[in-house]
Amino acid sequence: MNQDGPKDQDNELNNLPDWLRQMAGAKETPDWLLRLSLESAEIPGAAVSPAMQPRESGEPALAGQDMSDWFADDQIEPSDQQEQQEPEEVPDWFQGIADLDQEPEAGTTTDDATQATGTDVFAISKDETMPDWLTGVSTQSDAQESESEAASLADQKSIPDWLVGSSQEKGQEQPVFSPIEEAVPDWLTGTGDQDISEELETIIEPPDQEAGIPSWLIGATPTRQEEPPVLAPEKEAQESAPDWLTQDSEPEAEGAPDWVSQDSELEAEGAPDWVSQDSEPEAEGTPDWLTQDSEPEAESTPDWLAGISDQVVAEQPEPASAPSADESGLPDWLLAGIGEEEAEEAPVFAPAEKARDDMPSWLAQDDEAEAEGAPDWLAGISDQAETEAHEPATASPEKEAALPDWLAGISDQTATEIPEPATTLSAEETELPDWLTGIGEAEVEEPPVLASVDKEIEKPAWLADIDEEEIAEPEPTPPAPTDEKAEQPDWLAGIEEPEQEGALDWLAGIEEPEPATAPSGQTAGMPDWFADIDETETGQDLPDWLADIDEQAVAEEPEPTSLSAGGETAQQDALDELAKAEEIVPEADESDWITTVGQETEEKSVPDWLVGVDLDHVGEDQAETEQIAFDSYDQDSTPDRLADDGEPKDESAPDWLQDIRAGTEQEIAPTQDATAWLQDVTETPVPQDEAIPEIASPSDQLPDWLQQPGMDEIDTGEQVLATESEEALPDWLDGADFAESEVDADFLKEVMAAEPTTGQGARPVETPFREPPTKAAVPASAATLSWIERLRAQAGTPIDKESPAETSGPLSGLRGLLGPEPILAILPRSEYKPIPSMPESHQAEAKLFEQVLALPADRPVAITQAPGQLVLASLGRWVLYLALVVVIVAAAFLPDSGSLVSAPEMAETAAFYNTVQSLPPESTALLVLDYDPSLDGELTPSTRAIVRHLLHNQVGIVAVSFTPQGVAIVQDLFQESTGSDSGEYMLNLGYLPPHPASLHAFVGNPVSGTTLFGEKDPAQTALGKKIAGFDSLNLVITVSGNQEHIRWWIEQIGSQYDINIVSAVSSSIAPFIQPYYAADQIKGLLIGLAGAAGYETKIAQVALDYAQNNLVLQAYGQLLLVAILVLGGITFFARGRK
Amino acid sequence: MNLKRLFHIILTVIALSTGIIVLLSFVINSANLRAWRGVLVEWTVIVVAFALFIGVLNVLNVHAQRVLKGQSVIYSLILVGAFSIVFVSGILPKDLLPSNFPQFTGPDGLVMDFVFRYIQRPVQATLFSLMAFFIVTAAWRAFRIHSAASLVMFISAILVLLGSIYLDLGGAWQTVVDIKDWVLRVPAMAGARGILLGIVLGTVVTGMRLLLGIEKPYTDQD
Repeated sequence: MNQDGPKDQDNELNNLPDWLRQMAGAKETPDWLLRLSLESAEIPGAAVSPAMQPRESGEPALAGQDMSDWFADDQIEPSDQQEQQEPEEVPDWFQGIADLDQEPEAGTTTDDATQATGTDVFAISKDETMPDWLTGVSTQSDAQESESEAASLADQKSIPDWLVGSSQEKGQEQPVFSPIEEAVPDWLTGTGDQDISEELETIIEPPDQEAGIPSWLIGATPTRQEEPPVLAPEKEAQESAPDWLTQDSEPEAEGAPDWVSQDSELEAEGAPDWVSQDSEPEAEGTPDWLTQDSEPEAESTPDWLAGISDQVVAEQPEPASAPSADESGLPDWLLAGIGEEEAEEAPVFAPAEKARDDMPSWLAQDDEAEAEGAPDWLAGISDQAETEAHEPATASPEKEAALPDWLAGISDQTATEIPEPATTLSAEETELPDWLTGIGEAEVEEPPVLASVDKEIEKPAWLADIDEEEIAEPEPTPPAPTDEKAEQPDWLAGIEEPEQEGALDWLAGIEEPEPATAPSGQTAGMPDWFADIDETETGQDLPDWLADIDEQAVAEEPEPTSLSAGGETAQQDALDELAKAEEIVPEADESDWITTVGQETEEKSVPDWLVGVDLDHVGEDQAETEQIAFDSYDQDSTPDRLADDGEPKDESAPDWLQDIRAGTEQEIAPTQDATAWLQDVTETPVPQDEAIPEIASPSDQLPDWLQQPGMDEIDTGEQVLATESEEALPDWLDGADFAESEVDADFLKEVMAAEPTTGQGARPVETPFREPPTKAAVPASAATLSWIERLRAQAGTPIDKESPAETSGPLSGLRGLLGPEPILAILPRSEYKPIPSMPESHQAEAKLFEQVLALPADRPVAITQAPGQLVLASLGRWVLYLALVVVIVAAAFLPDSGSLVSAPEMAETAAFYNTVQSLPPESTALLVLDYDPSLDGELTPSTRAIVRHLLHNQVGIVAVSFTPQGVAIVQDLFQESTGSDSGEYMLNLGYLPPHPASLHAFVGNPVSGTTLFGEKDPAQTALGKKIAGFDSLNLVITVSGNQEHIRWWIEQIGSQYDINIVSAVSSSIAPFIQPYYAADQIKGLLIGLAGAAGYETKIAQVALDYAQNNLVLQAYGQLLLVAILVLGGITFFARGRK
Repeated sequence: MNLKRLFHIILTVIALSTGIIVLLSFVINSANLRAWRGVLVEWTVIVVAFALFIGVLNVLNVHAQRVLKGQSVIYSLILVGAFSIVFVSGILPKDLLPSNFPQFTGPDGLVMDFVFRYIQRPVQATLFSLMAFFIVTAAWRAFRIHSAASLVMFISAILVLLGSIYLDLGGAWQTVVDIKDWVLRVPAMAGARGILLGIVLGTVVTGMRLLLGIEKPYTDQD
């Protein structure tokens, strides 16, 4: 509404307590409070006060710094259209109320009261006699007044006259409520101011501006475009405006909760459905209650307002029912307000003064709150009172179209009260109940007073009685509850008193279970309009305003899941903060009405409805609660406080309450097994940041904590609490060890009290109000928690006290639960490995192997052979040995045996010979002996032939041996060849360890060692002097029976030095050396004895025949071996392969 | 860093540097590298000789313990006696002996020559010659034809044996010799080359693992 809003709003928000600030964002704000704030924001300011003059768009509202944030946040910035909806008209009844309040209650004259409507009114407006929650109306004005007179004047002007009067009177007569300033919640303070100011504005609204339409409804009138005529300074109006009004126009305030910010943001993606839907027609950032107000006709009317209007029109065609008869049907709290005087004077409405006297201030404000968001029933009361007070008139079609029915009645009143040709009298007027009609009559009787001087007449008589009682008995209740009750509004006090006294009828009726289909006779004591409500079918279980809430909620919120997370988080934060507020916020900061509602609970700083609630649970499971509420929304659009409250305790309860309960039972059957919000609060904590489908219904804007617990508390009372046994606990609480759990005992009691169906023990014996929940009726959320149900300890199951208790989660406090599977106990799952296809043969062998394994082990059988067989077996071996000996001996001694064997001519041998033969004289050859005496017969002939050949060619021989025996072999050969151990051509260097390192060492310095024979210093020998290094050697001749050592020479030396290598090897390693020969890595190769024989043949000049002779013997032995092999094979075949 | 780890690092550095130097000396024709290689090889020979000496002492210790314990006393005494005789005769300086016995001492003394010439050499030669008898007996028992493979093996053995007998029987026998040569040159050499290639590859891999420090036989780590 104002453009200067952000600045003011920041200050306002900063001054607000956190828990209220959080609550502002919470969606749990009751509808009636929301509407109260909205309507208050839209009610035009009083014309008489500059501060009350209607604010122009962009003008800040009253700077109610004390206003609670949540209430301020509720003041979502309306659309531009709404911003232009300035207060233009005030219903007459409002004016009457204001005047009535201004009328001096004790000693004050009507003139004073009339003057009180002026600037002086608000000097008294901070009267302490007001109930705390209403005192806040004047609190802000008081605060401002203390600052300066101008501010005081502005504050005074921001309060309606009627409230001024009431407050003044009460302030004089009831100083008990003096400390109310501190106790008054800020939000109410701001509300009151705003309400008053704007009501006054409405009252003095010129008729041309939406005559009879309150300013807060002006937004609903499409034709309203004009600015209010009141010309109060804008600043004053801004200052006098409560915060929530300021925030209405300041949706982007920094302190505003998320949902407010989101609301203010057009087309915000995260906006909740209810916000989005509301904002569609006008501004996307406008909340529902703002949008609905701004919408024309029934669409713009809030559901609860529309319901009232509908009900009035459709169900109460006979307004003339006697108020005396209505009294019996009225609830006691209403009766308490009406009092005996009201009952007596009914249906005639009290005169203006009388009514004013009877009018309690808080009700006076309630009347204001009607336009501002008061409960519907109050609105309807006022409507009817006024409509009955005036003759039916042709309502302006524009007005009729722009206003909801009940507001049309208000406008009609205004029209009649304010001299105006177009006084509207809606048809609803005739539908008002008698007792309300009386109110109207009272107004009719003194219309001038209502119109011009006192608005008190507009106040219903019963309300006036209430007020009167308050005045006459400032402390009607014993002081024991004292401050709390004293601070309570009367209507709350009236609620509590019956319980103490034995319960009022209607409360008793609530407590006593009644069948949903109550006999018609029960409605005998009800007022007609209540009876009519009962008889209706569509809203048969609910009053219309509730039914319409349901209907409209369903219609307007087809997509409940699109709620923005911000709204939820704001709600949850609100609850969290609320829980914190229990500890942090001092009582003085708490709203009085909350405090007083709390009665004599231990937590006096917390209202009762919060006392029974485990705030921790509430804070934790707020999202779940919302989910439950949403799940049950289809069946129950009524507020939970009406739907889920306890069983009726008394049949004398008014029918409308019974019907409400009955209808609620049918509709909310799924949730009746337990108080949904309580169950959900404690059952499944939901991550707070998790988005949950939002409650789409405007009726659900009532927070659960306001809907359910409060009503439960009212309905059940302490008697029920006392009678509830543990069996009445929800099943999920049965197995809990409450002693050790963190669950608050009070909270559990509340749960037991609120539990309508599961109780099996001490619940009142009366017919259960609700049928046991069917399985299908279980809410979805409860169904999803079935797994928890399964885990729940059965009734009677002994609880193992020693077993550890759950410390967190929904199962907190339960014992004997199965713990999580230890991670170590989970064996890794084996990987699937496909079995490769196995050949059939393998399979057959595998089967055979299995069969063998399956067979029993055979006992070892001793093989017994005849002695003859053993002799023959050993004899055959000996025969073979003997044959070999005979053959070799025969070959050695038989003449011409060698003629059959001749030395072969082999290429390797020839190459070897050629290589050695190619050595020039005086050259030096390295002879490496690498064999032991075991190979002496095979290799020594080669060595001898080589030595003789070298010596024959005058090639020096430097001998080195890889075996110790080789040194001796060489030395023998030297002696055998030359007759000396050393000489000019011979040098025996001795033993060289067979290792590549030693080989390299030798190659590095061939003559560095000591000689074994002869010279100590090889370098000093004749041959040694010729050898300066390895390069001085011309040929390497290896005689070896070890292939590895030959490879060393070939690989380590032959590749590094330009030197030829020839080898004489045994026949056994010949195949491994031949490749090197084939690769020309060695230049010649003597293979075994045959090679030596062939080499001897080459060196015929040396006349050696050692190899040749041995070769003949070897040939005969090999012939014998072949013969044995053949005989063995034949014998094997002959024996049949055994 | 503890001392053990530091010790391992030092050993690794020494081993790798030594291997790299020796390897490069084969790849690069450098006198300095070869000189360094020679130094390293000499150190290796000394170490190996010392290891051999330690091994001899260990053998003496073991057999001495057996003599003292009375276990296999005779054989242990023979071993210890033979070792003492050869070692003393070989190391005993000729100057310390009387003039008539200088030829008996030293590596080229009569004692050493006798032991080698008339004991060790005939014994070893005799033991190896017995292989002929063992082979004959094995041929009788082993070369039994159970399958085609055994038949092929049997035939191959017969042909190689016959071909190794260089009988002067003309061209027919020469055919047998040629078959023998083919067997040795083609299938046998193929198998031998395969084995050699495997050995070489294994040697290369082992050398690389040593050079890269993957294997550390010089430490207690694998």
